This record gives sequence, C-alpha cells and structure tokens, in this order.
Amino acid sequence: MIQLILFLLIGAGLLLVLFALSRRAVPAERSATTLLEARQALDALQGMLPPSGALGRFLAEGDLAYITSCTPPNIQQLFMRERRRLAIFWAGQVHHSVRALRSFHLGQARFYAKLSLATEMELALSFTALLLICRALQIALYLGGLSPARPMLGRTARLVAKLCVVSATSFAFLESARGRGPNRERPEGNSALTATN
Amino acid sequence: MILFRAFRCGVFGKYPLFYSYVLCVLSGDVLMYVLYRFNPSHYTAAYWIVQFATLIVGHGVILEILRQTLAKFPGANAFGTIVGLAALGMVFCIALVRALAAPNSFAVTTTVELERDLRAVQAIFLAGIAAIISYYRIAIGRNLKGMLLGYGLFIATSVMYLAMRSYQGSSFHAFLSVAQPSLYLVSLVIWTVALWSFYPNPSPRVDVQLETDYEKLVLRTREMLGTMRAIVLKAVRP
Repeated sequence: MIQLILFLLIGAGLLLVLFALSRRAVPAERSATTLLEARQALDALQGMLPPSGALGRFLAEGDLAYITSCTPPNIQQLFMRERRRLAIFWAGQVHHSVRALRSFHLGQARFYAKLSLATEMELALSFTALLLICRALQIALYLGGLSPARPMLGRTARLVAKLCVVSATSFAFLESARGRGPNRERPEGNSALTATN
Repeated sequence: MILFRAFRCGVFGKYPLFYSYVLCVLSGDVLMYVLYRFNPSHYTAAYWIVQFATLIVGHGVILEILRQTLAKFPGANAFGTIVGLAALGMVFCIALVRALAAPNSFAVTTTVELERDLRAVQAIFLAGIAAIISYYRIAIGRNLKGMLLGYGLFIATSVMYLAMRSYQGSSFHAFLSVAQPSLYLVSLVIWTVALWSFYPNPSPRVDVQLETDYEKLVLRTREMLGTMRAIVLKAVRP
C-alpha cells in the first residue's frame, strides 16, 4: 500500500509541476549583459528596501501613549487601524524586495558555467526562510497586531535564522571540496550572513 | 501526422531524438498489429520487448528536452545533467537488481513492476527538469513546451496506472485497456498541435560569464539577504 501511495505521489507530483509550468507567464529575458549592469540592478534593488528602523518608528510606544492619553476613542481607533495597515504594508514591501532579489539572482545565476549547487541550495533556503518570516509577520499583524505576536515571531525568526546557519554549515563541506580545485578563489567573507544571526 | 508534419516542415533534424522516439513507437505499433493478426502466440513476449525498447528510446525525449532548453544556460544545464545522470544511474541499477533478483524476468507481474519503476525514474528526471526551468525562469518555445507537457502527461499517468495495476493485479486490466490509449491520445494531440510548425526556442541575450563574476554575484546576494534578514529580525525582536 505504501509503495502504491509513493508511486501515485510521484505521478501526481509530475502532473503538478507540469501544470505549474504550463500556467506560468513567459518571463522577459533580462538585458543585463555585463557585470556592471548587474551591479547597477543590485544597487537599484537595495534602494527598494524599507529603512531598517521604519517599523519600530511606525509602532513607537511613545506615539501610542500620547494618542491614547489625549484623544477621543474614535481617533485612537483610527490611529491603531492605520498603524496596523502601515505595518502590514511594510512587511509586504520587505517580502516584495526579497522576491525581487531572488528573481534577480536566479536571472543572473543561470548563465554562469560553474554554478555551485551547494551555494544555490543554501541561498534558496535562506530566501524561503525570509519569505516565510515576512508572510508570518503579515498574518500575525493582520490577526492580532504586533504586540501579542512579537514574542512568538521573535522565537520563530531566530529559529529560522539558526536553521539557515546550520544548513550553510552543512553545505560548507561541498564548498571546500570544490575549493580544492585549481584557480579557485573564495570571496572575502560572508559577514552579512553571519553577522545578523 | 506528427511525422508527416516533421518531414514537411523540415523539423525532424531539429529534434532528432524526439522524432526517433515517435518513429520507434509507430514502428512498434505496426509490428504489434502484424503479430496480433498473423502470429498471436508471440504477441505477449513481443509486447514487453517493444514496450521496453520504446521506454529506453523515450529517455531520448527527456535528453532532447534537457539539451534544447538548458543548453544556453550553463549553470542550469549543470543541475539538469546531474539530475539526468542520477536518473540514468537509477535506471541501470533497477534493471540490474531486477535481472539478478528475478530469474524469470518476463513474468507479467515482474515486468509491470519493472516498467513502473523505470517510468517513475523518468518521471523524477522530467519533474527535475521542469522544476529547474520554472525555478530559473527559463523561457521555452512552443515546440519544447508541447514536447514536455505531452511526454510528462504520458509518463505521469503511466506511473499511476502501472502502480495501480501492480497493486490490484489483472482485475485492473479492463480499466487500463481504455485509460492508457485514451491518455496517450491526449499526449499525441498535444504534440501534434505544439509541433505543427517550427517555433525556435527563445535565445537569451547574455554571454556566459566567468566564475569569479558568479562569486561576486553570490557575495552581493548574500550581503543583501543579510541586510533584509537584519531588518526583519530587528522588527520582530521582542
């Protein structure tokens, strides 16, 4: 019975992948032909990122205390509602930026002759984790506001970040095996990845 | 009709492995019909031989799809080749183990299971290629898309009904005798429509870069990912 289910799943999986492939819109080929253009595109993507302290400023406790102490209830409700909408929009912007970065990376990476399987898997995992955190953040904000969801989200985010580091370490042996080949130059550091975890 | 259009439009040479498969299937069907009419006693043995011949030649269709879609994308092609080699290795291993384990390898049950296993390996290979095409957002032409969808549909349904046949036994044969040709007909219709004329695969406009450029790209992607992660973690930190 288990064997039957396994084979049915393989068949259904293939049908699902083909269905997704037939439904997708044909992407426009990227015109970035040089590394310089790739850099410019990356810089443009960087400009799309919301400022790092924006969400904290939107949800500052001081502002809330001021509004609740000296305004009527209808203003308070409006303030709370707009604050939540702003936070949800912010999370959506980050989600959009991550997707744009992933799209850009994949659009460029597919052309490189010596693509690293380990690196690509590690990046795919990191992208997925970050997208999941953003979605969880949006859902939590939509359902109950940031304050009650914050501890849970904090734990989830740290767990996912830890998972990324563990995965990166797991793939490192593949990298070092590749690195023993001739003319292999490793770029300096992976500081941004590790510093944030 | 598919072969007629291929010769008429001069497409046969563009997709030689695919059309060889179609030619092989047509020849096999004609041979089986002749055997069925004039020498029915050899039909069963010949059926499985033809079935396995088309299965092996069918691997060429997958290689054709891999070659045509990913040839201009060396990075994605490397992934596809790894998946393909792994699948091919699995085909040989399964065939070898089956041959060693079952001395009477042409017994119907064993043959059905063997075909099911080999089709499953093809399904995994094809799903891998389709996933790579989707993941790296590679544009494919109408011909190749039809080839992929038609053969994928045939393989996926084959795996499913062979699994059912293997589990249920010959009681499932009545359903199979209707479902299998009907679904294959759908694949043939897809191929006929998609390969009616030659549609070249869209060419990318980017030259292959050096490996160091890839490393710079990865480094920048990691840096930006780190920045984004820092922003999100800062927001959710209690």
